[in-house]
Amino acid sequence: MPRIIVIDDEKEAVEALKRFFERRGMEIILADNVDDGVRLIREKKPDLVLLDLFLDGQSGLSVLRAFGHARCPCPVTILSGSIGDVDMDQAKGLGVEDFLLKPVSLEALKRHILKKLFIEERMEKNISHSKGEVP
Amino acid sequence: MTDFLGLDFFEQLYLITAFITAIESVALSIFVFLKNTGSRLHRSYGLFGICVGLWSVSLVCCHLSLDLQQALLWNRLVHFFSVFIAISFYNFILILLQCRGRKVLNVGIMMAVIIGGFCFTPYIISHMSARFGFRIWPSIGSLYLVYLTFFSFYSYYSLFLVFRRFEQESGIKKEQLRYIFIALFIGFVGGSTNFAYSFDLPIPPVGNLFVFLYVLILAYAIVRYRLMDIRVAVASTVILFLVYAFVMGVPFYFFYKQQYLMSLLLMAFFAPFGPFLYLFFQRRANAALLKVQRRYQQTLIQASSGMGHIKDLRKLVKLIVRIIMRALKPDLCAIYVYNKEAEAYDLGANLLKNNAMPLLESVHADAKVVEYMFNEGKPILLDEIKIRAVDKNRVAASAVALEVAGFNAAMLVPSIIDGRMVAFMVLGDKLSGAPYTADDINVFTILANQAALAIENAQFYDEVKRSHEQLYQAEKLAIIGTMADGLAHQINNRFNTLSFIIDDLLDSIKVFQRDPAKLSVEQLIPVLELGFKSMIGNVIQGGAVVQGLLNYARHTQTEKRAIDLRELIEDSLQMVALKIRLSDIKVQIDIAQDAEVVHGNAVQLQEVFFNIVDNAHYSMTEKKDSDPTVIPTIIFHAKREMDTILLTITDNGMGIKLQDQKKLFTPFFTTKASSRKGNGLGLFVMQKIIQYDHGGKISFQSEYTKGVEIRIVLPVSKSG
Repeated sequence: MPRIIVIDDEKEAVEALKRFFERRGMEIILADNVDDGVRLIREKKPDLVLLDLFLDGQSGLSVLRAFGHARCPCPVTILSGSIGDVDMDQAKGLGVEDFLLKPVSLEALKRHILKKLFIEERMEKNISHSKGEVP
Repeated sequence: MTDFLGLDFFEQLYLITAFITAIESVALSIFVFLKNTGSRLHRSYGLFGICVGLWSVSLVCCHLSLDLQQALLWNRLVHFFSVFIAISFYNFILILLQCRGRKVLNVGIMMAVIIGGFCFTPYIISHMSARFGFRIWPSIGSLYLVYLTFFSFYSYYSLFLVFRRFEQESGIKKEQLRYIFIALFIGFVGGSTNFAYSFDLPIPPVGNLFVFLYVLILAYAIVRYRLMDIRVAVASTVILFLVYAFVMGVPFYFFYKQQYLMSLLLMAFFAPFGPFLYLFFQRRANAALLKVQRRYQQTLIQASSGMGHIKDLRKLVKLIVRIIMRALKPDLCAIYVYNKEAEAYDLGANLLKNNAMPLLESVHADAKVVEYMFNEGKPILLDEIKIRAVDKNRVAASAVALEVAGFNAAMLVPSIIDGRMVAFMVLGDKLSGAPYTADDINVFTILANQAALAIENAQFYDEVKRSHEQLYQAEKLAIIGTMADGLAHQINNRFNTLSFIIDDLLDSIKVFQRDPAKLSVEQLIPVLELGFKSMIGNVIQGGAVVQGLLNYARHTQTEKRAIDLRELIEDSLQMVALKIRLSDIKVQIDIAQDAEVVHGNAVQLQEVFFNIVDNAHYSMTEKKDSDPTVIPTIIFHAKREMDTILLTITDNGMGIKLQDQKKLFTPFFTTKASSRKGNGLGLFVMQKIIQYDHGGKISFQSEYTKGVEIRIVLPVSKSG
């Protein structure tokens, strides 16, 4: 079962998101601040993280910075109401490839998540496959 | 008093007045002529006056002659000069009244030459003989009537022209004509009494005793009504004349009494005093001339000292108009103030009486009348422009006269400072109908100078105020700029939440439709209800964000009023919340009961508090990064101090480095890392708002790493 951590402080929104994706057989874990987010990523090893840039006065990017040079162990999609050029550059520097600007529909988010999970899955397969072929 | 050359008293008086006439007349003519040698009017008057002077001198010499032969020659000269008195008078009047009559003049000149020639033949004066108590009197020749007709025609026709024009004119010109008429009427009628004895009519030449008055009356008109513009010169002439009449007259009297030694002694005694007496009386005369003016000046100096304090241009201009209306009561008074952008003089304020014509709203800076006023640099009377239109620059001056007539004005007063005409005033006729005098013009020169200064002051103040306003506007836009990210995030989050809730609800409906066993109606309805409620909440929240921004961006009110300090701080905090998350800051508001209401501009003060909280937040975030145990806290504390409220705002952030403290209120100084976070205008504008707009004070105290304490002193609201 795919496991996704959503780090966002918009309570009503993430609860709707959680219900929607849980009906589709995904595990959604919620965090509304930087510290919880970092801890949960370390503990739960999610397949994907959805990260808001504005977290109760803190920057969402602090979550990524917390992993330092080790980088966040899972793919991260920035989902935010406003993504400035500076933030985008910094996020890219921290290894983020995907940016979604709110508002999005849950259907669109679902397509994005499935695509990401599928790509990850295939990449992992490729890696294990190549590992198998080339000892 | 008998026995001087055997003359009786009347004859003596006759001679003395004639002598006075001669001196006065020549002196005035010379002054008038020298005052403006280029002016046709001045030249023509000079010529006339000289003729009168020579005529009168000849008359005196004639009666002092020792034998009849000598007397005859002098008397012929008397008649010769009188011919030229008549024709030069006509010439002067033609120029003064600007009327046609050159042909009559040219014929007159020809005739004057011919008749003047005949004066030296027995056809005019045949011989001299004693008559009616006079030792010598002329007996007429066969052509005397021709001479008399010529003389009477040109003299009385000229007087008639003056009288006719007098009835048509108004204002200062009418007054001038009134005095010219009276003066010359006395002169000519008085002089004409000389004719009677020659025709054996028993009318003594009494009139001649009063001829000398004509110069005095003209002199009065010159001083009072600016006739030919030689006011001070005339005052000097009269004084010079009076002083020397005395200094010379007293010794002359003794000489005439044949006490020659006494006469000589007195002469020696008086001569050195002459110049001193002259200076003494001249000063006295000037003081007297300026007396009325001083009274005006005092009220004006009082009025104009108030003028400099008025910073509002519109109020100032209205005040000037009111001052003038009160002092002079003209039927119209208006001020046009230069408008740089429009390159025109715009009507600033005006007062009209008696249904006067509406005024022009604006006069372009290129208008001839503007150029004329600027070149003159002093108050101008419409009547004078009309006179000058004949004198010099005929075309230009008449064009100006036309434009002035367009204002329906009697006087224009330019206000010039540093070579720029900042404004000009337009004045109508005085309601009393009295013309503008030299005193009035002096008064207006002073007023115009004061007004120029005051208007320039007000304009400067206006400009500074406008640049302040622009600065605030720039600051406001900058703040909105720094809020843009936060705003977009807030609004987009509302939309996003709506989108998620709707998708979730649609999903629930789909589940219900597919398998009602999984989700019953009873279960679905509360889900929908909760969802819709959340949706409405988000819509309202989004609207509030937009409204908050609009309130801030649109507010341009500048008036101050009583404001509840706590409300003001809370509103500011709401504003800041658009930019930053306030939930991780502890805010403490502690306001003493007698310090609740300040007098100020809510929008501006909100801007100040916004900046302070924003700065504090930035500095406290920095501090928290280095020391996570710190709880960021801002404390607002207000207490009453006399008529002011002292507000201190303390934070426990990083504080300000010593080297940055001096630069804190400098524009564009910022320690913030990125320009998105601060543009460096904040503190500079805050200082302007507190000091200039509220008459308060702002200062700070800070120790690096310990936080900042900002102290703001604001006026307490009088109503609160």
